[in-house]
Amino acid sequence: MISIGPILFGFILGLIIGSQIKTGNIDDTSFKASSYVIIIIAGLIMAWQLGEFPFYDQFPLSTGFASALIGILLSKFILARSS
Amino acid sequence: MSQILKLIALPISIILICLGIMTILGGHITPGGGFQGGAMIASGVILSVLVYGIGNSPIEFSHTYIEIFESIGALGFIALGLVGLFAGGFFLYNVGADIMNVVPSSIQTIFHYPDVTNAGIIPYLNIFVGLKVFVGLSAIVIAFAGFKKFIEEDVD
Repeated sequence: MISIGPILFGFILGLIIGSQIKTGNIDDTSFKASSYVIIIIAGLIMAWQLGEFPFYDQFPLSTGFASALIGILLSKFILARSS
Repeated sequence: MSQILKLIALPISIILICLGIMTILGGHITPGGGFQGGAMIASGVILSVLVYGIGNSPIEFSHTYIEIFESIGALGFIALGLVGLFAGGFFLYNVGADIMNVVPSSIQTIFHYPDVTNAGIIPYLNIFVGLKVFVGLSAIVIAFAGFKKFIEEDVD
């Protein structure tokens, strides 16, 4: 059984913070779709290496970390429209 | 700042923010909690503001955003405390865990954090504290960076 708490609240906190990430106003550097794919891969490797934090030991992945990453990127693409 | 810093700062900021959120969510059974996790999230924002500058930073909070989440953090904490006062008899009584068996089970179900530890309202308090701390620390740095830019423009 996977605990719902960290998944749900990690996703909500990610949504809150990701809504303010706007890459449109960065000068002389651009972040394309491939940049976000790299961020997702690096994040998933980190979540795997962190293990079952915080000690729920039902799933070999830090669910709070992974859901926060998904929330941030989803919210960045849906809500932060100036990019 | 250099091109390499500008390329790597945003991904590192996003990873730092995720680590901060993870620290907040593990606060009831591991070292860390709302303040530490909030400070880690703020460190991601600070890294972004330092590297890209205050006007060009990809992670920058508006006055309204800061106001809303600072208020939600403080009022949420007080509201949870008042729920404990009215339902259990003590301010900040853990109505989700209810070790004294004084709270109706319907209220206990509402405030029970959905994981295996029976932590009650502690994770919710951590989340509210984390919101308040991350917005507060970010606001301080954004304000300082703004003052610096204002002074530099004034000198010029």
